[in-house]
Amino acid sequence: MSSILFIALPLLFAFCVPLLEKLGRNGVAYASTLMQIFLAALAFSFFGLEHPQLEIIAIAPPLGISFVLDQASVFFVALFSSLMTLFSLYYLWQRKIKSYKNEAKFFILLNTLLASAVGLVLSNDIFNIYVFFEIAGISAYILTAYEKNAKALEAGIKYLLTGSVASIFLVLAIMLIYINIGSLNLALIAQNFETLPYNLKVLISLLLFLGFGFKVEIFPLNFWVSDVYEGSSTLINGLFSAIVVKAYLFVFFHILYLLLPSGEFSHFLIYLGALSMLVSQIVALKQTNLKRLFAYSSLGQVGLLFAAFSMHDSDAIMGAFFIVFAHSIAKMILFLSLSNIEEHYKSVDISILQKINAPYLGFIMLIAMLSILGIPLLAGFVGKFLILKSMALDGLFGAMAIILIASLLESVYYFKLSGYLTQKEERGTLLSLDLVQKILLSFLALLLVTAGTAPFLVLDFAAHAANVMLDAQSYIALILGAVQ
Amino acid sequence: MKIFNLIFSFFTLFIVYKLSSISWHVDLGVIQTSPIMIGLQASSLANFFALLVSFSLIMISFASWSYTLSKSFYLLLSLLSISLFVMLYAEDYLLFFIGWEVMSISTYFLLSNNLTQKALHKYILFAMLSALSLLLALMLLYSTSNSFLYADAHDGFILLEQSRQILLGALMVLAFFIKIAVIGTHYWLVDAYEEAHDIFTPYLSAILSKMGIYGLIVFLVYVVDISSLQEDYLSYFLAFIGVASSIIATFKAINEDSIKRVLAYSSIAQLGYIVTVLSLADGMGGALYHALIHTLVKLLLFINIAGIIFVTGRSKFSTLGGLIYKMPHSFVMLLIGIIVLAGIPPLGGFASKFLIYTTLLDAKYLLILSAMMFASASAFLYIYKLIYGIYLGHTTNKKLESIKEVPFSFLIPQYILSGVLIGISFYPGWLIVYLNTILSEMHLKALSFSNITSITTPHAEYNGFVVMSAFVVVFLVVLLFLLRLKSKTKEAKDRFDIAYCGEEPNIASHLHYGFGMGQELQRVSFIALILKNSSKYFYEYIASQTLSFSDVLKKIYTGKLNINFNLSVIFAIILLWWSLK
Repeated sequence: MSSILFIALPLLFAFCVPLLEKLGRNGVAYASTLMQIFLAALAFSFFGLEHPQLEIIAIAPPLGISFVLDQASVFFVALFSSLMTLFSLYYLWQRKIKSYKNEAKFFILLNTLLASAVGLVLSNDIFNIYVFFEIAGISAYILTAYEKNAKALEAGIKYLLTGSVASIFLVLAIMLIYINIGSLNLALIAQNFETLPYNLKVLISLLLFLGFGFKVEIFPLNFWVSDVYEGSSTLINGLFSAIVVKAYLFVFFHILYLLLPSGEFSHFLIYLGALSMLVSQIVALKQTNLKRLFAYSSLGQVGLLFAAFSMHDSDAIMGAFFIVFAHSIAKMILFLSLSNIEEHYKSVDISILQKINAPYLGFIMLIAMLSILGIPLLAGFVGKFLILKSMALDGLFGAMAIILIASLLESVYYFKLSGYLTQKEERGTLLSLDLVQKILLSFLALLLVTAGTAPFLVLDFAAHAANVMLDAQSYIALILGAVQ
Repeated sequence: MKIFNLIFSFFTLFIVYKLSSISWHVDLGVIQTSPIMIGLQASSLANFFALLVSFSLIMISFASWSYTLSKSFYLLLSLLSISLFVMLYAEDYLLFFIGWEVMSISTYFLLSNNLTQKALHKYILFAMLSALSLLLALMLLYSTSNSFLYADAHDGFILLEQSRQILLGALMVLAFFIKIAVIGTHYWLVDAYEEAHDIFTPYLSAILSKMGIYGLIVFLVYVVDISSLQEDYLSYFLAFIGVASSIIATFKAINEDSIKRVLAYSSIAQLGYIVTVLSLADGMGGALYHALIHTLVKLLLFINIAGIIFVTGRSKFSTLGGLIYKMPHSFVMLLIGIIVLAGIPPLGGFASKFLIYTTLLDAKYLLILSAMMFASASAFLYIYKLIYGIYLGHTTNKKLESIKEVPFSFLIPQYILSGVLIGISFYPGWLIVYLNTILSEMHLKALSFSNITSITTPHAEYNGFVVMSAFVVVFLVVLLFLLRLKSKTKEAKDRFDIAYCGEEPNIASHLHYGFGMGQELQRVSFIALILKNSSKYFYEYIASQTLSFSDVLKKIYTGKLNINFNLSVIFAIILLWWSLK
């Protein structure tokens, strides 16, 4: 009765919102934030976890629902729940200048989003994964179109269409798996997947790849992302970039490691990830809308993550964990700050950074940008370094060169922004932040600096988590052990 | 904050003293597959460069006294210096890389207040290119040596395939050439030097460009093993590109009107000599000697120029002139500086050039040697410009007639620097002793040493003490003579008091006799060729091509779902066709 709380509490809360609404406008907001704080604390209490925990609901695995909380998934759960908490806290103070209409609904969506993201990470059967895949999708569609202006609605519809196409592929894959293996449990599928004929295996893998490909924003399938980021409100973008895509990435590679433990298509996936990074950085060069720009930057980072996870190598996965951590936090900082800038100066054009008068905000944004660029002493560097190191050992110099060229292009536009922020210009009116918002942003920036300067504090944990994630055999043994 | 900075700059001396015997290693071996050893290890080479860093920082702290600078400037300067120490004392490429990146980024923020958007962007993109090619190079090295330590680097290098060795060399050399700003990769440097804060330019020129030299030395000594380098294509390449850099930069300098731009090109040219001589194992002594002299002289010159800009607010030759009687102290300091820069006896600049020439002669790099002498002789043209443009001739403006000597804070470091330079000129052999300890640690052939006052080579002996003493005597005699002469000459009332002029000058006419000097060289076709062509066109072409490619790729992301879904279907079909057998 523990890991289930991460999913059940937010879902339950979402259903209780109509009741809580009776407490007034603030009731829902405070209750939701308190619950999220509790979840984040709970997640951190699992960090010392020695053995993976299997949570069975009602019936034992092959048939029933089960959740696995191991060292890899606890990292994601803690990241998601704490980032969501920080987001809610930030929003509580942001409400003074920007609040959403029908706030209760907004909090319902936030909590379903959190529940589904955590559910994707913890689920052990592919049908549940599909359910959470859809819940996360639907919450994200509604959040995208939340503001109900033309752009938001257009973005919402695009998101909905691509999401539906993605789920068609996923359903087809699940169908084929169920017909041929007769089970939806990931461990059982993994055990029997080897025995399938080659062409069927390829077909299933391809369908899974296409289904998740839209959601993990990989190169030819990520055309919708920039429109969605541009259309949805800036605060929400932070959630998309920090939580939603990371959850899909984790579950995609979780399934991949289980089904194809020897890394059949890994070269293809690595180069696809690197190419994805390169393409999005090239496209980003000419963007003038900050939201679109950050969206392309997210695509680039996701491409890097994709390449790193595809390596089937614990060092690279460790690096990927660092990048997940660093990028989620950095993008959270950037989008939260940008929402303040947008509200104050009424623009998201990149030239607005020349006019903003917010030294503190600018400083925090600089840290986030430098971390994304992978500058040493910040968390992004550790991840990039570990990934490149294991690529060097595998002799993947082509992919390394692509990634480094992409990083150079990334620095072209990020340093343009940082030039706008640091240079002496005619500045507009002073943008003052709330003290709590300042504290939250500094806390996030401090995390980046700490993880970058003292990576050895968390390296041990990350190494262990990477090994756990890669180790398909003991995962299968854990679940099948529960079956007998 | 000024006091803090001064104290910190002296404190760096203490840091260097502490670090000069450090031996600290740590294993980041939680990563099970491959332990990573990193550490700090003192070496004589690192001590040498660290002393230069610390000394320059002290000089700059003195000179910065007259400016009001922001707190962040001082903090970043401290961060920069610390990153340099990490880089210098690193015993592995990982710490070296971290120091290298932190150096580039803190320099970026130090520059960001003064540079224009374009110059700043140029600087950082080249710095990032340098860092990323360094990263790729050391990953290549890591793939075979399985370690980042310098000690294992050579073994790893030998294990690499031939083509990858070349790639590694090209990447490393590119990374360091960008920081040294060898011609072709100097596109960022001149604007950055010109527009940087006057107090930061000396640091850029004296220290940051030397870090490129240090990186190159580390690469040549630990990775390639410099003693096996002779007759290698890398050796020819370095020698050629270094000397080409000297010649081209020298001519580019002659044509400039801004003082700081001239000195920036001069920096490129001087470092070109060092790169050339590093192509030979025996040249290490000369290279280090020249690095030291260049650090001192560029500090002296840039602080001198900073003082002039501080007092007059002008930074172009065409707006200055005739300051000799207003600023006699600065004039003498600049005179000493340019004699050293020119590399002529009696001052110390000759000693280092003497070593460099001898090395090239011994290695039979005769064409390179003559090209270098050509560059060195041509350098007189811009070196002379420094003194006549600023101090000699008429004052070009009424406002210049009422100015005074630069503040004392600018003069103190100049006195110290010129004192050190004169000391080295008297006792050039003393440095040889010091350099020999560095060379022996790198297992290179020691420079021959006879006594402390002279430099000895198989071909000749240069006795600095005798030359300097003779020079000082002659100088004093001439000075007394001139002082007597001066009292008899008639002083002009103002700059329009031109008795023999055929036409009447107005306020806008340039009366300084040095105005436009150097322009006539454009008529020499060889020089015109150098001046007209620039790596700028190449880089701008690449930038414009990348941007138009970006326009093309952007079409994927226009949000037309029908096209995009069709593309996805094609992608899926390709994947299916490719994976099903």
